[in-house]
Amino acid sequence: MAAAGSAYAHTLLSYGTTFKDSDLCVFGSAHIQHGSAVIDSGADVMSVSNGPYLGCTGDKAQDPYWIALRRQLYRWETSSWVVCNDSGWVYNTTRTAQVFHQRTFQSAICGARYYGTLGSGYVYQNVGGWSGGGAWSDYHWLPA
Amino acid sequence: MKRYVYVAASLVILVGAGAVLAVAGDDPPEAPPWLAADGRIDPAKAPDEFEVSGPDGKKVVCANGRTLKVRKEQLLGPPPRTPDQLRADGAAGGGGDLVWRCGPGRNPHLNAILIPRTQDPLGEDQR
Repeated sequence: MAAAGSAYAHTLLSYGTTFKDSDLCVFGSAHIQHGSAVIDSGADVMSVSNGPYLGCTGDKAQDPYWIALRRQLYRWETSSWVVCNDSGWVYNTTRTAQVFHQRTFQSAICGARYYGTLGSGYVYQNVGGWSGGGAWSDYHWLPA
Repeated sequence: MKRYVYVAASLVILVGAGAVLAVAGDDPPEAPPWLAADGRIDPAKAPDEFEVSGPDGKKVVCANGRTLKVRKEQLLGPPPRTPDQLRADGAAGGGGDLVWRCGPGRNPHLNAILIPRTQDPLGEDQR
């Protein structure tokens, strides 16, 4: 899992491999961004082929409902992380290898706090069921 | 006289520090306990339950006066239904505006439900 930050617009992004077996890799990412006027919370999940020589490379398209993603915006309060906004499970409705979800807020909807995005992404396999995991954007102070 | 000045200055510093903490709301965050050393999420290390906010940004409190708790299995995944079940149910792709609310029963604070905001019985009152 790797993390990246940007001074411009204060973006925090984390991404990496959340699952790998002999023919599937699942990539996940989560980000939180604070621009001049709005806040973006986003996540995505990618289904990637895992070949014997090339490793994790190339899209591995999946039928509808075989990719699931959930994006949750958390806020820090006193001594714990509280869910501030929850996308629920989002599924691909067409054959594809990626699902992305982003929500833009006009302000820090749960007040002036530290916020972070958790992205949970899974790909379904006939053997093994839902395979994947989560990515955490790291946290960022957001003014009200 | 000098002593009073020191006391007054100390009070100003303490009040100022308190004001900063009040604005910040809390102590600085700790990394989520569910974050493993390699940066991946380890649900086994997550709290069993999480508190959640309503559309108004405040913690959801149920009719019994208790704060709503959501089990981590309801939050962190994996999804509860298989693709076949989703297809059979004619499930939408999701991604709409959802809100956590207290469920029915004697312990509504332990029976969290996630519903579309358009079906939120509290509606505009909670915005």
